[in-house]
Amino acid sequence: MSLLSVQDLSVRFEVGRRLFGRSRGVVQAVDRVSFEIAEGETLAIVGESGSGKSTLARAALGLTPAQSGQVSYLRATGETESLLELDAARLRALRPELQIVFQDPGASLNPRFRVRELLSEAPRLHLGLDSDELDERVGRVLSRIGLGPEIAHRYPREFSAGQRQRIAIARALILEPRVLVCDEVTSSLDVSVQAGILNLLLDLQEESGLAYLFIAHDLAVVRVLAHRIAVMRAGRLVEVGEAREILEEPKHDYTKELLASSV
Amino acid sequence: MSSLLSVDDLSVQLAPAAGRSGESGSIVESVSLRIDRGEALGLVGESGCGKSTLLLAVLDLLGPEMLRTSGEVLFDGRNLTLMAEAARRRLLGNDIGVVFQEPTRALNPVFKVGEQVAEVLRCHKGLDKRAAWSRAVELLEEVGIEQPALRARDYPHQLSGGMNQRVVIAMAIACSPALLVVDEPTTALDVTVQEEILALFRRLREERGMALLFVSHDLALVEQEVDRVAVMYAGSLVESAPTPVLFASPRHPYTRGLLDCQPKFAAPLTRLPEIGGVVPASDARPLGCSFHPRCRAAESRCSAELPVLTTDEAERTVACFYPLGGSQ
Repeated sequence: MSLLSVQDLSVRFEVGRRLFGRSRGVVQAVDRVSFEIAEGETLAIVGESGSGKSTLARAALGLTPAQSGQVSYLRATGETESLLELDAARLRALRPELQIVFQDPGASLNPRFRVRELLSEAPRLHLGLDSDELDERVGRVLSRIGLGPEIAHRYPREFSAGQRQRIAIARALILEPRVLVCDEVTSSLDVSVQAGILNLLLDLQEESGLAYLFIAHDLAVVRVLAHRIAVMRAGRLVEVGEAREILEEPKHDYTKELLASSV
Repeated sequence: MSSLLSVDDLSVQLAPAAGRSGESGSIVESVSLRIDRGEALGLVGESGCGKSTLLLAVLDLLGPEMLRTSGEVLFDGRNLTLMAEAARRRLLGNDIGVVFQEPTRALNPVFKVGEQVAEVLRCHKGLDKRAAWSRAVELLEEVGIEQPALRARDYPHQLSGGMNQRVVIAMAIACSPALLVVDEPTTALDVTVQEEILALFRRLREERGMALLFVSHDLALVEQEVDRVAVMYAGSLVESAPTPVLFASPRHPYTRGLLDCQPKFAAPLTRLPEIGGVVPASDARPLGCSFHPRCRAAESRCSAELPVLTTDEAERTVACFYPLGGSQ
Protein backbone atom coordinates (compact mmCIF):
# COMPACT_ATOMS: atom_id res chain seq x y z
CA MET A 1 0.00 0.00 0.00
CA SER A 2 1.47 3.34 -0.99
CA LEU A 3 2.08 6.19 1.39
CA LEU A 4 0.36 8.83 -0.69
CA SER A 5 -2.08 8.00 -3.44
CA VAL A 6 -3.64 10.62 -5.70
CA GLN A 7 -6.55 9.66 -7.95
CA ASP A 8 -8.10 11.68 -10.76
CA LEU A 9 -7.14 14.99 -9.22
CA SER A 10 -8.38 18.05 -11.10
CA VAL A 11 -7.92 21.74 -10.34
CA ARG A 12 -9.42 24.59 -12.31
CA PHE A 13 -9.03 28.33 -11.98
CA GLU A 14 -11.39 31.00 -13.19
CA VAL A 15 -9.56 33.72 -15.09
CA GLY A 16 -10.30 37.28 -16.03
CA ARG A 17 -12.85 37.82 -13.27
CA ARG A 18 -13.77 41.45 -12.71
CA LEU A 19 -15.00 42.85 -9.44
CA PHE A 20 -18.66 41.69 -9.13
CA GLY A 21 -18.43 40.37 -12.68
CA ARG A 22 -18.44 36.88 -14.01
CA SER A 23 -15.27 35.16 -15.07
CA ARG A 24 -14.42 35.06 -18.75
CA GLY A 25 -13.11 31.55 -18.77
CA VAL A 26 -11.54 28.68 -16.89
CA VAL A 27 -8.06 27.18 -16.97
CA GLN A 28 -7.86 23.48 -16.31
CA ALA A 29 -4.57 23.67 -14.39
CA VAL A 30 -4.58 20.00 -13.36
CA ASP A 31 -6.57 17.51 -15.40
CA ARG A 32 -7.42 14.09 -13.88
CA VAL A 33 -3.96 13.28 -12.58
CA SER A 34 -3.21 10.08 -10.67
CA PHE A 35 0.02 8.92 -9.03
CA GLU A 36 1.32 7.08 -5.98
CA ILE A 37 4.38 7.44 -3.78
CA ALA A 38 5.72 4.70 -1.52
CA GLU A 39 7.67 5.17 1.68
CA GLY A 40 11.32 6.05 1.02
CA GLU A 41 10.59 6.73 -2.63
CA THR A 42 11.17 9.80 -4.79
CA LEU A 43 8.65 10.62 -7.47
CA ALA A 44 9.80 13.48 -9.67
CA ILE A 45 7.32 15.60 -11.56
CA VAL A 46 8.93 17.39 -14.47
CA GLY A 47 7.51 19.84 -16.95
CA GLU A 48 7.81 23.43 -18.09
CA SER A 49 6.62 26.53 -16.26
CA GLY A 50 2.86 26.68 -16.39
CA SER A 51 2.38 22.94 -16.86
CA GLY A 52 0.65 22.70 -13.47
CA LYS A 53 3.37 20.94 -11.43
CA SER A 54 3.18 23.23 -8.41
CA THR A 55 -0.60 23.40 -8.48
CA LEU A 56 -0.73 19.61 -8.56
CA ALA A 57 1.53 19.35 -5.51
CA ARG A 58 -0.36 21.99 -3.59
CA ALA A 59 -3.73 20.42 -4.37
CA ALA A 60 -2.42 16.98 -3.34
CA LEU A 61 -1.59 18.42 0.09
CA GLY A 62 -4.92 20.22 0.35
CA LEU A 63 -3.29 23.67 0.11
CA THR A 64 -5.18 24.59 -3.07
CA PRO A 65 -8.84 23.53 -3.43
CA ALA A 66 -9.33 20.68 -5.88
CA GLN A 67 -12.26 20.52 -8.26
CA SER A 68 -12.50 16.76 -8.01
CA GLY A 69 -10.43 13.71 -7.16
CA GLN A 70 -9.18 11.83 -4.14
CA VAL A 71 -5.99 11.85 -2.08
CA SER A 72 -5.37 8.98 0.34
CA TYR A 73 -2.61 9.19 2.89
CA LEU A 74 -1.49 6.19 4.94
CA ARG A 75 -0.62 7.33 8.48
CA ALA A 76 2.17 5.80 10.53
CA THR A 77 -0.58 4.37 12.76
CA GLY A 78 -1.95 2.35 9.82
CA GLU A 79 -5.13 4.36 9.29
CA THR A 80 -5.85 5.78 5.86
CA GLU A 81 -7.01 9.40 5.68
CA SER A 82 -8.79 10.94 2.75
CA LEU A 83 -7.03 14.31 2.74
CA LEU A 84 -9.49 16.27 0.63
CA GLU A 85 -12.46 15.31 2.79
CA LEU A 86 -10.98 16.27 6.15
CA ASP A 87 -12.15 19.36 8.01
CA ALA A 88 -9.62 22.13 8.70
CA ALA A 89 -8.76 20.97 12.23
CA ARG A 90 -8.06 17.37 11.26
CA LEU A 91 -6.08 18.46 8.20
CA ARG A 92 -3.99 20.70 10.46
CA ALA A 93 -3.28 17.76 12.74
CA LEU A 94 -1.80 15.93 9.73
CA ARG A 95 0.32 18.87 8.53
CA PRO A 96 3.54 17.88 10.34
CA GLU A 97 3.60 14.63 8.37
CA LEU A 98 3.24 16.31 4.96
CA GLN A 99 5.65 19.20 4.46
CA ILE A 100 6.71 21.39 1.55
CA VAL A 101 9.88 23.35 0.65
CA PHE A 102 9.75 26.09 -1.97
CA GLN A 103 12.12 27.43 -4.61
CA ASP A 104 13.21 30.73 -3.13
CA PRO A 105 14.44 30.54 0.47
CA GLY A 106 14.84 34.32 0.47
CA ALA A 107 11.08 34.66 0.12
CA SER A 108 10.01 31.79 2.37
CA LEU A 109 12.11 32.68 5.45
CA ASN A 110 10.94 35.65 7.51
CA PRO A 111 13.95 38.04 7.57
CA ARG A 112 13.07 39.31 11.07
CA PHE A 113 13.19 35.87 12.68
CA ARG A 114 16.34 34.26 13.95
CA VAL A 115 17.00 30.69 12.83
CA ARG A 116 15.83 29.35 16.21
CA GLU A 117 12.50 31.19 15.90
CA LEU A 118 12.08 30.17 12.26
CA LEU A 119 12.59 26.52 13.09
CA SER A 120 10.73 26.32 16.39
CA GLU A 121 7.51 28.09 15.40
CA ALA A 122 5.92 25.10 13.68
CA PRO A 123 6.79 22.45 16.30
CA ARG A 124 5.64 24.79 19.08
CA LEU A 125 2.25 25.24 17.42
CA HIS A 126 1.76 21.73 16.07
CA LEU A 127 3.39 19.59 18.74
CA GLY A 128 3.12 21.86 21.78
CA LEU A 129 6.76 21.39 22.83
CA ASP A 130 8.28 23.47 25.63
CA SER A 131 11.34 25.67 25.29
CA ASP A 132 13.94 23.05 26.27
CA GLU A 133 12.46 20.45 23.97
CA LEU A 134 12.41 23.00 21.15
CA ASP A 135 16.07 23.93 21.67
CA GLU A 136 17.00 20.30 21.65
CA ARG A 137 15.09 19.68 18.41
CA VAL A 138 16.50 22.79 16.70
CA GLY A 139 20.05 21.73 17.59
CA ARG A 140 19.45 18.23 16.30
CA VAL A 141 17.92 19.32 12.97
CA LEU A 142 20.67 21.90 12.36
CA SER A 143 23.32 19.22 12.79
CA ARG A 144 21.40 17.00 10.40
CA ILE A 145 21.46 19.58 7.62
CA GLY A 146 25.17 20.21 8.17
CA LEU A 147 25.07 23.70 9.66
CA GLY A 148 25.63 23.10 13.39
CA PRO A 149 23.56 24.31 16.39
CA GLU A 150 25.66 27.46 16.92
CA ILE A 151 23.92 29.27 14.06
CA ALA A 152 20.53 29.25 15.86
CA HIS A 153 20.78 32.91 16.94
CA ARG A 154 21.60 34.26 13.47
CA TYR A 155 19.29 35.83 10.88
CA PRO A 156 18.60 34.48 7.34
CA ARG A 157 20.47 37.37 5.68
CA GLU A 158 23.70 36.17 7.29
CA PHE A 159 23.66 33.03 5.14
CA SER A 160 24.41 32.20 1.53
CA ALA A 161 21.58 31.10 -0.79
CA GLY A 162 22.55 27.45 -0.39
CA GLN A 163 22.65 27.69 3.41
CA ARG A 164 19.27 29.44 3.42
CA GLN A 165 17.80 26.60 1.39
CA ARG A 166 19.22 24.17 3.99
CA ILE A 167 17.46 26.17 6.71
CA ALA A 168 14.19 26.04 4.73
CA ILE A 169 14.61 22.26 4.51
CA ALA A 170 15.35 22.12 8.25
CA ARG A 171 12.12 23.97 8.97
CA ALA A 172 10.20 21.20 7.21
CA LEU A 173 12.31 18.39 8.72
CA ILE A 174 11.92 19.54 12.30
CA LEU A 175 8.31 18.27 12.23
CA GLU A 176 9.60 14.83 11.24
CA PRO A 177 7.50 14.59 8.08
CA ARG A 178 6.95 11.39 6.13
CA VAL A 179 6.28 13.12 2.82
CA LEU A 180 8.33 16.11 1.69
CA VAL A 181 7.31 18.10 -1.37
CA CYS A 182 10.32 19.85 -2.92
CA ASP A 183 9.12 22.51 -5.36
CA GLU A 184 12.09 23.56 -7.58
CA VAL A 185 14.33 23.64 -4.48
CA THR A 186 17.55 23.95 -6.46
CA SER A 187 16.41 26.06 -9.41
CA SER A 188 17.72 29.35 -8.06
CA LEU A 189 21.07 27.92 -6.93
CA ASP A 190 24.49 27.64 -8.54
CA VAL A 191 25.34 24.23 -9.96
CA SER A 192 27.99 23.73 -7.26
CA VAL A 193 25.56 24.61 -4.45
CA GLN A 194 22.82 22.52 -6.01
CA ALA A 195 25.07 19.44 -5.70
CA GLY A 196 25.20 19.94 -1.92
CA ILE A 197 21.40 20.23 -1.59
CA LEU A 198 20.79 17.14 -3.75
CA ASN A 199 23.31 15.19 -1.64
CA LEU A 200 21.56 16.35 1.54
CA LEU A 201 18.19 15.12 0.22
CA LEU A 202 19.74 11.75 -0.68
CA ASP A 203 21.27 11.41 2.80
CA LEU A 204 18.02 12.35 4.57
CA GLN A 205 16.05 9.80 2.61
CA GLU A 206 18.57 7.07 3.41
CA GLU A 207 18.50 7.92 7.12
CA SER A 208 14.76 8.22 7.63
CA GLY A 209 12.87 6.70 4.72
CA LEU A 210 11.37 10.07 3.76
CA ALA A 211 9.26 10.10 0.58
CA TYR A 212 9.84 12.99 -1.84
CA LEU A 213 7.54 14.53 -4.36
CA PHE A 214 10.29 16.35 -6.25
CA ILE A 215 9.17 19.03 -8.68
CA ALA A 216 11.65 20.31 -11.25
CA HIS A 217 11.83 21.56 -14.81
CA ASP A 218 15.28 20.12 -15.43
CA LEU A 219 15.60 16.39 -16.12
CA ALA A 220 19.33 16.48 -15.41
CA VAL A 221 18.66 17.38 -11.77
CA VAL A 222 15.92 14.78 -11.48
CA ARG A 223 18.16 11.90 -12.52
CA VAL A 224 20.23 12.30 -9.36
CA LEU A 225 17.43 11.39 -6.99
CA ALA A 226 14.28 10.15 -8.70
CA HIS A 227 13.14 6.54 -8.48
CA ARG A 228 10.20 7.28 -10.73
CA ILE A 229 9.47 10.21 -13.03
CA ALA A 230 6.16 11.69 -14.13
CA VAL A 231 6.25 14.08 -17.09
CA MET A 232 3.59 16.76 -16.97
CA ARG A 233 2.32 18.95 -19.77
CA ALA A 234 -0.64 21.32 -19.84
CA GLY A 235 -2.15 19.86 -16.68
CA ARG A 236 -1.83 16.18 -17.62
CA LEU A 237 0.72 13.48 -16.99
CA VAL A 238 1.92 12.42 -20.44
CA GLU A 239 4.31 9.72 -19.25
CA VAL A 240 5.01 8.03 -15.90
CA GLY A 241 7.57 5.33 -15.25
CA GLU A 242 10.78 4.12 -13.64
CA ALA A 243 13.45 6.85 -13.81
CA ARG A 244 15.81 4.72 -15.87
CA GLU A 245 13.16 3.94 -18.47
CA ILE A 246 12.09 7.56 -18.84
CA LEU A 247 15.67 8.80 -19.12
CA GLU A 248 16.92 6.07 -21.45
CA GLU A 249 13.86 5.04 -23.46
CA PRO A 250 11.38 7.88 -23.39
CA LYS A 251 8.20 7.05 -25.30
CA HIS A 252 6.40 10.35 -25.47
CA ASP A 253 7.67 13.00 -27.90
CA TYR A 254 7.45 15.70 -25.25
CA THR A 255 9.69 13.69 -22.90
CA LYS A 256 12.21 13.32 -25.72
CA GLU A 257 12.14 17.06 -26.29
CA LEU A 258 12.72 17.76 -22.58
CA LEU A 259 15.59 15.28 -22.51
CA ALA A 260 17.19 16.80 -25.59
CA SER A 261 17.24 20.25 -24.02
CA SER A 262 18.58 19.25 -20.62
CA VAL A 263 21.40 16.89 -21.56
CA MET B 1 47.28 42.67 -31.83
CA SER B 2 43.86 43.44 -33.20
CA SER B 3 41.57 42.19 -30.46
CA LEU B 4 38.04 43.53 -30.53
CA LEU B 5 37.95 43.78 -26.75
CA SER B 6 41.03 43.79 -24.62
CA VAL B 7 40.89 44.08 -20.85
CA ASP B 8 44.19 44.66 -19.10
CA ASP B 9 44.88 44.34 -15.37
CA LEU B 10 41.39 45.42 -14.31
CA SER B 11 40.69 45.71 -10.57
CA VAL B 12 37.56 46.84 -8.73
CA GLN B 13 37.12 47.68 -5.04
CA LEU B 14 34.27 48.82 -2.87
CA ALA B 15 34.33 52.61 -2.85
CA PRO B 16 35.57 54.08 0.44
CA ALA B 17 32.56 55.11 2.50
CA ALA B 18 31.84 56.60 5.89
CA GLY B 19 31.84 53.97 8.60
CA ARG B 20 33.99 51.60 6.64
CA SER B 21 37.66 51.54 7.37
CA GLY B 22 40.75 49.70 6.26
CA GLU B 23 41.32 47.52 3.25
CA SER B 24 38.13 46.16 1.72
CA GLY B 25 39.88 43.76 -0.64
CA SER B 26 39.33 43.71 -4.37
CA ILE B 27 36.07 42.38 -5.78
CA VAL B 28 37.88 41.95 -9.07
CA GLU B 29 41.64 41.54 -8.97
CA SER B 30 43.86 42.39 -11.95
CA VAL B 31 41.89 40.49 -14.57
CA SER B 32 43.06 40.51 -18.18
CA LEU B 33 41.10 39.10 -21.08
CA ARG B 34 40.74 39.53 -24.80
CA ILE B 35 38.12 38.68 -27.38
CA ASP B 36 38.87 38.66 -31.09
CA ARG B 37 36.41 39.66 -33.80
CA GLY B 38 33.73 37.02 -34.16
CA GLU B 39 35.06 35.01 -31.21
CA ALA B 40 32.92 33.71 -28.34
CA LEU B 41 34.36 33.73 -24.81
CA GLY B 42 32.66 32.10 -21.80
CA LEU B 43 33.26 33.63 -18.36
CA VAL B 44 32.41 31.08 -15.69
CA GLY B 45 32.47 30.82 -11.90
CA GLU B 46 30.16 30.52 -8.88
CA SER B 47 27.99 33.37 -7.63
CA GLY B 48 30.12 35.84 -5.73
CA CYS B 49 33.25 35.31 -7.82
CA GLY B 50 32.99 38.77 -9.38
CA LYS B 51 31.84 37.87 -12.90
CA SER B 52 29.04 40.43 -13.08
CA THR B 53 31.17 43.12 -11.41
CA LEU B 54 33.90 42.48 -13.96
CA LEU B 55 31.34 42.84 -16.71
CA LEU B 56 30.01 46.12 -15.32
CA ALA B 57 33.57 47.42 -14.94
CA VAL B 58 34.36 46.50 -18.55
CA LEU B 59 31.25 48.37 -19.74
CA ASP B 60 31.99 51.21 -17.31
CA LEU B 61 28.59 50.78 -15.68
CA LEU B 62 29.75 50.35 -12.07
CA GLY B 63 27.47 51.91 -9.45
CA PRO B 64 28.75 54.55 -7.01
CA GLU B 65 29.50 51.89 -4.38
CA MET B 66 32.24 50.41 -6.53
CA LEU B 67 35.44 51.83 -7.88
CA ARG B 68 37.80 50.74 -10.63
CA THR B 69 41.23 50.94 -9.06
CA SER B 70 43.39 49.83 -11.96
CA GLY B 71 43.38 48.65 -15.53
CA GLU B 72 42.19 49.70 -18.92
CA VAL B 73 39.64 48.46 -21.42
CA LEU B 74 40.24 48.80 -25.15
CA PHE B 75 37.40 48.27 -27.58
CA ASP B 76 38.38 48.22 -31.22
CA GLY B 77 41.49 50.20 -30.32
CA ARG B 78 39.60 52.89 -28.41
CA ASN B 79 40.18 53.29 -24.69
CA LEU B 80 36.79 52.90 -22.98
CA THR B 81 38.14 53.93 -19.61
CA LEU B 82 39.28 57.34 -20.86
CA MET B 83 36.29 58.00 -23.07
CA ALA B 84 33.89 60.88 -22.45
CA GLU B 85 30.44 59.96 -21.14
CA ALA B 86 28.61 60.87 -24.37
CA ALA B 87 30.99 58.91 -26.57
CA ARG B 88 30.75 55.86 -24.31
CA ARG B 89 26.95 55.99 -24.41
CA ARG B 90 27.11 55.97 -28.20
CA LEU B 91 29.40 52.98 -28.10
CA LEU B 92 27.20 50.95 -25.73
CA GLY B 93 24.18 49.96 -27.75
CA ASN B 94 25.77 50.75 -31.07
CA ASP B 95 28.88 48.60 -30.96
CA ILE B 96 28.26 46.57 -27.81
CA GLY B 97 24.89 44.98 -27.07
CA VAL B 98 24.08 43.72 -23.57
CA VAL B 99 21.55 41.14 -22.34
CA PHE B 100 21.07 40.58 -18.61
CA GLN B 101 19.52 37.69 -16.72
CA GLU B 102 16.07 38.95 -15.89
CA PRO B 103 14.20 40.09 -19.02
CA THR B 104 11.23 41.49 -17.11
CA ARG B 105 13.56 43.84 -15.23
CA ALA B 106 15.32 44.98 -18.39
CA LEU B 107 12.02 45.98 -20.01
CA ASN B 108 9.81 48.91 -19.08
CA PRO B 109 6.38 47.54 -18.07
CA VAL B 110 4.41 50.53 -19.34
CA PHE B 111 5.68 50.62 -22.93
CA LYS B 112 4.83 48.24 -25.77
CA VAL B 113 7.74 45.95 -26.56
CA GLY B 114 7.88 47.26 -30.15
CA GLU B 115 8.30 50.81 -28.84
CA GLN B 116 11.18 49.70 -26.63
CA VAL B 117 13.03 48.13 -29.56
CA ALA B 118 12.23 51.17 -31.72
CA GLU B 119 13.56 53.53 -29.04
CA VAL B 120 17.03 51.99 -29.37
CA LEU B 121 16.97 52.67 -33.12
CA ARG B 122 15.71 56.22 -32.68
CA CYS B 123 18.40 57.06 -30.12
CA HIS B 124 21.33 55.36 -31.77
CA LYS B 125 20.48 55.40 -35.47
CA GLY B 126 18.35 58.55 -35.61
CA LEU B 127 15.50 56.77 -37.39
CA ASP B 128 12.12 58.51 -37.37
CA LYS B 129 9.17 56.99 -35.56
CA ARG B 130 7.70 55.05 -38.50
CA ALA B 131 11.01 53.71 -39.78
CA ALA B 132 12.09 52.69 -36.28
CA TRP B 133 8.80 50.85 -35.71
CA SER B 134 8.98 48.87 -38.93
CA ARG B 135 12.64 48.02 -38.30
CA ALA B 136 11.68 46.92 -34.75
CA VAL B 137 9.09 44.53 -36.20
CA GLU B 138 11.77 43.08 -38.52
CA LEU B 139 14.10 42.60 -35.56
CA LEU B 140 11.39 40.85 -33.54
CA GLU B 141 10.95 38.50 -36.47
CA GLU B 142 14.70 37.92 -36.66
CA VAL B 143 14.85 36.82 -33.00
CA GLY B 144 12.11 34.28 -33.65
CA ILE B 145 8.93 35.96 -32.47
CA GLU B 146 5.92 34.79 -34.45
CA GLN B 147 3.43 37.35 -35.76
CA PRO B 148 5.93 40.12 -34.95
CA ALA B 149 3.69 42.97 -36.12
CA LEU B 150 1.03 41.86 -33.65
CA ARG B 151 3.37 41.02 -30.76
CA ALA B 152 5.13 44.39 -31.10
CA ARG B 153 1.95 45.95 -29.73
CA ASP B 154 2.02 43.78 -26.59
CA TYR B 155 3.29 44.92 -23.21
CA PRO B 156 5.97 42.84 -21.44
CA HIS B 157 3.45 41.30 -19.02
CA GLN B 158 1.54 39.84 -21.97
CA LEU B 159 4.57 37.84 -23.10
CA SER B 160 6.29 34.83 -21.52
CA GLY B 161 9.76 35.04 -19.97
CA GLY B 162 11.32 33.46 -23.05
CA MET B 163 9.53 35.89 -25.38
CA ASN B 164 10.60 38.85 -23.26
CA GLN B 165 14.20 37.65 -23.38
CA ARG B 166 13.90 37.57 -27.18
CA VAL B 167 12.71 41.18 -27.08
CA VAL B 168 15.75 42.15 -24.98
CA ILE B 169 17.99 40.35 -27.48
CA ALA B 170 16.30 42.25 -30.32
CA MET B 171 17.13 45.50 -28.51
CA ALA B 172 20.73 44.38 -27.98
CA ILE B 173 21.31 43.50 -31.64
CA ALA B 174 19.26 46.39 -33.08
CA CYS B 175 22.33 48.40 -34.08
CA SER B 176 24.33 45.39 -35.31
CA PRO B 177 26.93 45.45 -32.53
CA ALA B 178 30.32 43.85 -33.07
CA LEU B 179 30.15 42.39 -29.55
CA LEU B 180 27.17 40.91 -27.71
CA VAL B 181 27.56 40.59 -23.94
CA VAL B 182 25.15 38.22 -22.19
CA ASP B 183 25.02 37.71 -18.40
CA GLU B 184 23.21 34.50 -17.35
CA PRO B 185 20.71 35.05 -20.19
CA THR B 186 18.83 31.77 -19.67
CA THR B 187 19.00 31.23 -15.92
CA ALA B 188 15.44 32.47 -15.37
CA LEU B 189 14.04 30.34 -18.21
CA ASP B 190 12.80 26.78 -18.69
CA VAL B 191 15.24 24.26 -20.18
CA THR B 192 13.35 23.97 -23.47
CA VAL B 193 13.23 27.76 -23.83
CA GLN B 194 16.89 27.94 -22.80
CA GLU B 195 17.78 25.66 -25.70
CA GLU B 196 15.87 27.93 -28.12
CA ILE B 197 17.65 31.05 -26.85
CA LEU B 198 21.07 29.38 -27.13
CA ALA B 199 20.23 28.33 -30.69
CA LEU B 200 19.27 31.94 -31.41
CA PHE B 201 22.69 33.18 -30.19
CA ARG B 202 24.38 30.58 -32.43
CA ARG B 203 22.35 31.67 -35.46
CA LEU B 204 22.94 35.38 -34.83
CA ARG B 205 26.67 34.81 -34.49
CA GLU B 206 26.76 32.86 -37.73
CA GLU B 207 24.69 35.36 -39.69
CA ARG B 208 26.20 38.53 -38.28
CA GLY B 209 29.70 37.42 -37.28
CA MET B 210 29.23 38.94 -33.83
CA ALA B 211 31.68 38.30 -31.02
CA LEU B 212 30.10 37.00 -27.81
CA LEU B 213 30.96 37.32 -24.12
CA PHE B 214 28.84 34.74 -22.30
CA VAL B 215 28.77 34.92 -18.48
CA SER B 216 27.37 31.96 -16.55
CA HIS B 217 27.77 29.99 -13.31
CA ASP B 218 27.17 26.81 -15.30
CA LEU B 219 30.27 25.49 -17.01
CA ALA B 220 28.38 22.80 -18.93
CA LEU B 221 25.98 25.35 -20.38
CA VAL B 222 28.67 27.28 -22.24
CA GLU B 223 30.41 24.24 -23.71
CA GLN B 224 28.48 24.27 -27.00
CA GLU B 225 28.36 28.06 -27.22
CA VAL B 226 31.89 29.43 -26.90
CA ASP B 227 35.34 29.04 -28.44
CA ARG B 228 37.24 29.73 -25.24
CA VAL B 229 36.40 29.57 -21.53
CA ALA B 230 37.81 31.72 -18.73
CA VAL B 231 37.18 30.46 -15.19
CA MET B 232 36.99 33.03 -12.42
CA TYR B 233 37.31 32.38 -8.70
CA ALA B 234 37.17 34.92 -5.86
CA GLY B 235 37.83 37.90 -8.13
CA SER B 236 40.67 36.43 -10.20
CA LEU B 237 41.01 34.35 -13.32
CA VAL B 238 42.27 30.89 -12.40
CA GLU B 239 42.21 29.11 -15.74
CA SER B 240 41.44 29.82 -19.36
CA ALA B 241 41.70 27.62 -22.42
CA PRO B 242 40.09 26.77 -25.77
CA THR B 243 36.78 25.06 -24.92
CA PRO B 244 37.66 21.51 -26.09
CA VAL B 245 40.98 21.64 -24.21
CA LEU B 246 39.36 22.84 -21.00
CA PHE B 247 36.63 20.21 -21.06
CA ALA B 248 38.96 17.38 -22.04
CA SER B 249 41.49 18.09 -19.30
CA PRO B 250 40.79 20.85 -16.79
CA ARG B 251 44.00 21.66 -14.95
CA HIS B 252 42.81 23.89 -12.12
CA PRO B 253 41.16 21.91 -9.28
CA TYR B 254 38.36 24.51 -9.20
CA THR B 255 37.52 23.91 -12.88
CA ARG B 256 37.54 20.16 -12.21
CA GLY B 257 35.17 20.69 -9.26
CA LEU B 258 32.76 22.77 -11.35
CA LEU B 259 32.64 20.01 -13.97
CA ASP B 260 32.25 17.15 -11.49
CA CYS B 261 29.22 18.57 -9.66
CA GLN B 262 27.15 18.60 -12.86
CA PRO B 263 24.05 16.45 -12.35
CA LYS B 264 23.91 15.56 -16.03
CA PHE B 265 27.10 13.50 -15.70
CA ALA B 266 25.97 11.84 -12.48
CA ALA B 267 25.08 8.24 -11.81
CA PRO B 268 21.44 7.89 -10.69
CA LEU B 269 20.75 7.83 -6.94
CA THR B 270 24.40 8.51 -6.10
CA ARG B 271 25.82 11.47 -4.19
CA LEU B 272 27.39 14.11 -6.43
CA PRO B 273 31.01 15.19 -5.91
CA GLU B 274 30.83 18.54 -4.09
CA ILE B 275 33.47 21.27 -4.01
CA GLY B 276 32.64 21.89 -0.36
CA GLY B 277 32.74 25.27 1.38
CA VAL B 278 31.74 28.58 -0.17
CA VAL B 279 33.34 31.40 -2.14
CA PRO B 280 35.04 33.72 0.39
CA ALA B 281 33.79 37.31 0.56
CA SER B 282 36.09 39.92 -0.95
CA ASP B 283 37.22 41.10 2.51
CA ALA B 284 37.76 37.59 3.88
CA ARG B 285 39.96 35.92 1.31
CA PRO B 286 42.65 33.64 2.70
CA LEU B 287 46.35 34.24 2.17
CA GLY B 288 47.95 32.48 -0.75
CA CYS B 289 45.69 30.87 -3.33
CA SER B 290 42.09 31.90 -2.62
CA PHE B 291 40.87 28.42 -3.45
CA HIS B 292 43.19 26.47 -1.12
CA PRO B 293 40.72 26.00 1.78
CA ARG B 294 38.33 24.22 -0.60
CA CYS B 295 40.98 22.40 -2.58
CA ARG B 296 41.66 18.70 -2.12
CA ALA B 297 45.10 18.96 -3.72
CA ALA B 298 46.29 21.89 -1.55
CA GLU B 299 49.77 21.75 -0.02
CA SER B 300 51.42 24.06 2.51
CA ARG B 301 52.77 26.31 -0.24
CA CYS B 302 49.19 27.09 -1.40
CA SER B 303 48.34 28.86 1.85
CA ALA B 304 51.49 30.99 1.78
CA GLU B 305 52.08 32.09 -1.80
CA LEU B 306 49.84 33.39 -4.54
CA PRO B 307 50.07 31.35 -7.76
CA VAL B 308 50.31 33.44 -10.94
CA LEU B 309 48.79 32.64 -14.32
CA THR B 310 51.17 30.74 -16.59
CA THR B 311 50.55 29.78 -20.20
CA ASP B 312 51.33 26.40 -21.73
CA GLU B 313 51.64 25.17 -25.31
CA ALA B 314 47.87 24.47 -25.71
CA GLU B 315 47.07 28.20 -25.27
CA ARG B 316 45.95 27.40 -21.77
CA THR B 317 46.68 29.61 -18.79
CA VAL B 318 46.32 28.31 -15.27
CA ALA B 319 47.11 29.74 -11.83
CA CYS B 320 47.96 26.75 -9.67
CA PHE B 321 51.14 25.36 -8.09
CA TYR B 322 49.95 21.77 -8.51
CA PRO B 323 47.82 21.70 -11.66
CA LEU B 324 46.03 18.46 -12.46
CA GLY B 325 47.76 16.23 -15.01
CA GLY B 326 46.78 16.45 -18.65
CA SER B 327 45.87 12.76 -18.78
CA GLN B 328 43.03 13.02 -16.24
